[in-house]
Order: sequence, then C-alpha cells, then structure tokens
Amino acid sequence: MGTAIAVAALTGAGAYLVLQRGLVRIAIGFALVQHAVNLLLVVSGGRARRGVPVLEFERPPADPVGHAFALTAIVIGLATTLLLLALALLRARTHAADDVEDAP
Amino acid sequence: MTGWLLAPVLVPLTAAALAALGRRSQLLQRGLAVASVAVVVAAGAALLTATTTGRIPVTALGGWPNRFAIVFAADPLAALLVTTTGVVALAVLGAAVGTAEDGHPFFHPLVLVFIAGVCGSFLTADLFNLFVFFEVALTASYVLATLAATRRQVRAGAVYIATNLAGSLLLVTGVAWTYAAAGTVNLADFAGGAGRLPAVAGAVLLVAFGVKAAAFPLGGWLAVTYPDLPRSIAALFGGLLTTVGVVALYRILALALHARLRTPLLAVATATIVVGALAALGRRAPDEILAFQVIAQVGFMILGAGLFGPAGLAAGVFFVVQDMVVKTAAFLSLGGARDVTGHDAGATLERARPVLAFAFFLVVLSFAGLPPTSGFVGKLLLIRAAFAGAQYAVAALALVGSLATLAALLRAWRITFTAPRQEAPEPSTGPGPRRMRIAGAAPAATLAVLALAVGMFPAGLAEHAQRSAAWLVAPDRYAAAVLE
Repeated sequence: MGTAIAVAALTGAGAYLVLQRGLVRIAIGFALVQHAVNLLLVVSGGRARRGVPVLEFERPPADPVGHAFALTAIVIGLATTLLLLALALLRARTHAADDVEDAP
Repeated sequence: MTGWLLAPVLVPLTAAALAALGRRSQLLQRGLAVASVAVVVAAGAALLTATTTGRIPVTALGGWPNRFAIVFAADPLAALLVTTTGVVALAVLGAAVGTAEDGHPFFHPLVLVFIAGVCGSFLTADLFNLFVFFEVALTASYVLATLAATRRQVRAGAVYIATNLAGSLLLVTGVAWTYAAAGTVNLADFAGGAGRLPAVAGAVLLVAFGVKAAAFPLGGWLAVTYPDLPRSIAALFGGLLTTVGVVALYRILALALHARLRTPLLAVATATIVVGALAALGRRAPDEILAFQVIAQVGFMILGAGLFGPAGLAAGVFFVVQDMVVKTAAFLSLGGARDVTGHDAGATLERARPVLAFAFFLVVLSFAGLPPTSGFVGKLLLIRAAFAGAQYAVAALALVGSLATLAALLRAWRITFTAPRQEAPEPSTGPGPRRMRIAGAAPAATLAVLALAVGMFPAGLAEHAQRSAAWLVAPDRYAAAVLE
C-alpha cells in the first residue's frame, strides 16, 4: 500500500511538472516519474509475497530480476535527465528565458 | 552463427567507442563507421540465408538456460530488417561523408550507437532488453537531433525528447506490469497464450510503441522535429526511427495480442494515413510536406499489422522494408536540393541536378503507390489483403490517402525542382562543388533505383516477407526455437 501511494504521488507530481513550460521543470518532472517507474519495477518482483534475502528464511527471498530491471532503468533515467538539463543549458545560452516555445 | 547474430549490435557499439576515442582523426572515424556498417550488412545477409532453411539462429547470453538468459533470435523478419538497416545506413554514411556533414567529432560515434540500438531491438527476444535497445537508439537520436544546437533545433528537440521520454516511461511501466503479472519478460513465453500477457500491460505497451512509431494521434513530434534536421540525420531517422516502433508492435501483436486488437489498430492505421496525407496537403515547405508523408506511410505500415493473417502480415513486412529504403532516399534527395552551389541562378534545379530530380521523382511515385515502384507493390499487397479480409472502408480510405499523398508530394516536387532558383550560387566551403554534387545525389539515386528494382522484380522480397509472416502467425514455432 505504501509503495502504491509513493508511486501515485511521484507520478502525479511528475506529470504536473512535465506539463509546465520551463525545461528545467520538465526535466525534474521526468526524473520524478522515472523514480515512480523504478519503484514499480522493484515491486514487480512481488515484494508483498516475498521476504528480505539473506536475513529472512521463512518466506522465499525477493526476486532479484525486478531489482536488476530497476538498476538498469535508474542508469537510463540518469542519462536522460542529464540530457534534458544539458538541453536546458543550451537554451539558456540561446534564449532569454527558460520557456518552451510553441511549435512552428 | 552466434557471431553473426551478435555482430549487428556489438560491432557498431565497439566501433562507436573506438571512433569516440579517435575523434581527432576524421579518416579513422569514417573508416570505422563504414567498415562496421558493412559488417552489419554482411551479418544481416548471413542471418537471412540461415533463416531460409526453416530454422532460426538463437543465442543465449551468459550461459544460462534459455528461459532465464537474455536471448537473441533472428527470425526472418529480424534478419530482413537488419540487412535493410545496414544498407540504408551505408547510403546515409556515404552522403554524410561526401558532403562533409560529419564534421562534428561525435557524429560517427552517435550514428553507430543508434544503429546498434536499432539492430538490437530487431534481434532481441526479451521485452526488457527491447526497452533497453530502444533507449540506446533513442538517446543517441536525442543528441543527433540537437547536435547543431541551433535555436530551432533546440526548440524542436525539446518536443522530440519530451514526447519520446514519456513514451519510454510508458514502455517500462508496461514491462513492469508484465513481469508482475506473468513473471517473465521472455517474448517466447507469451507465444500463443494471450492470457500470459495481461490486457492492461499489453495496451500500455502498444501505446508506447505508437508514440515511437508516430501513429495518430501520438505522432505530432515527428512533424515538428524532422524539418529542422540536417539531411543525413533526417534520412537516418526517416528510414529507421519510426520503423523500430512499428516492428516492435508487429512482434508483440503477433506473439500475444492478436485477436482483440485488430479493429482498434485498423482504425489507428487508417486515421494515421488520412491525417498524415491531409496535413501534408496543407503545408507549403517541402521539408514539412515530407515529414507529414512519413506519418502517412507509418499508417500503411501499421495497416499490415491490423489486417493480420499471413497475407496482411506479409504485405505489411514487404511495405515496411521497401519504405525504409524509399524514405531514406526521400530525405537524401530533398536534402541534396538544399545545396545550391554549382549551378546558375535562374535555372531550375531539375536541369541543374537531373540525377537528384530523378531520384526524388521515383520517391514521389513510390510514396503515392504508382507503378513501377516498390511502393506500388507494397500498397497493392496491402489493399488486396484488406479486400480479402472484407475491410472495404479501410481500403477506400487508404486509396484516398494515397491520392492526397500524390498531390502533396507533386507540390513539393514543383517547389523544389521546377521553380526557377533566385539565389546566386554561393561560394562553396568544404568539398568542391563537383564532389558535393555527386556525393549529394549518388546515395539518394542508388536507394531510389534499388526501390525501383524491388518494384519491378518484387518476387525475392515478397518471398522473404511471406516467410517472415509465416513465422509471425505461428508464434509457437518462435517460442520453441527460442526456448529450445
């Protein structure tokens, strides 16, 4: 339940920021949604049904595949966030304000 | 065979790293790029030959049993697409090198990473790996799209990156849900059993592929981005970028979801054709007309998936493959028309650049689906499959869309090639005008003539397309080969 609320909150806040006009806000918004998805990937291994690996022996240990997915997604997320921030920097150099212009 | 199976991914990636290290020497970069793409073509051809025997090359990385390992498999569709990717990329590299558009030290490394990502997404048999290869290709494309960092490019790039990032997040959400529900992301595990892939996850995946493929109503980013790209990058994206999304859609649809999604997909395909063609009709700049035409062609590509069945899928595969070649030729020939060096002011471009004009004319015919080009055969097969499936309204709307395509592209042709040029010839910088003229026209003309040859002798490609469709409609065969 706690994870579901966290995913919902992160996605909601991220979606709000992505719909703003500033590119830095859009970048932060995407970073938030990416974290929501990372949580989702971790949970996809069945966190509720499974126990902590090594420390707990009563239940089957947590599925490591979901964690491996999340690790990969974190790396990709970092790269795309950096790319968006670099683009914001480029725009700051060529434009007066950080603002998404209307498409031509 | 394992070597050939991994070469289309590993060779360009390795060459990209070497080219990035050796970026002081343009000669080294060019050599690495051309050589590694030639390896991709050779590997694609080897895989294509191997698939004609009725078995498909499969390899599992890491030595795990196939069910747990990251599996690569080259079914006839993947082999065909890898070969075409290599051919298209060679032409684009030829144009970029000849016209000195590869001046940026990271041009070749990024193009090679992009090609590795595209080939990987065709060859992988793992849903999460598919997402990773999408990201490899897309991240390289984000940088390529904004490489010149002009005001317009940065503006269009923000739209492009934001839309595709949203699509990627949808995709990985779909992967997470799939894994949570099915406990596997191996594509073979979904074969035939539509129940294994939950409907919600499948729908999210299809929407994500729709964003990448630029299907209506998710394709607005393409029309904003493409007109501001340099010729070679636009040609690379035009040939490969949307295709990746369409092919992923074919694969997931064929493996897991077919029956339930035919009608919505047909609606999306028809809407994409009609909206793309009509939007192109309303544009005046040739670059923008062409960008909307690419969207219309995506509609035809998806039409094959929507019609399904051996006939529909074979027609779709034929169309996808010939369209990769035609679209690349389109962007190369129209981009070549931008270099106004080497002819007198007042002359029409048609007279000054007959080869380029001829290439673009073939492209117009192929986009509109007129004989004797490859587009004619592709559309004929699609329309025939639509009639066979009693989808008369879809067939009629597709034909109307083709008519609008012809009208819009003829205008692009008139504006570009038959209107007298006002501007005086600019003093050329970089390569001499003669070399520039040959390098600007030769790759485009080669691809256009290739498309013409496919249109006149379609049997070879049609046979491969039928074999691809036979594997697509029998997912159990694919599953057995992958899990073996």
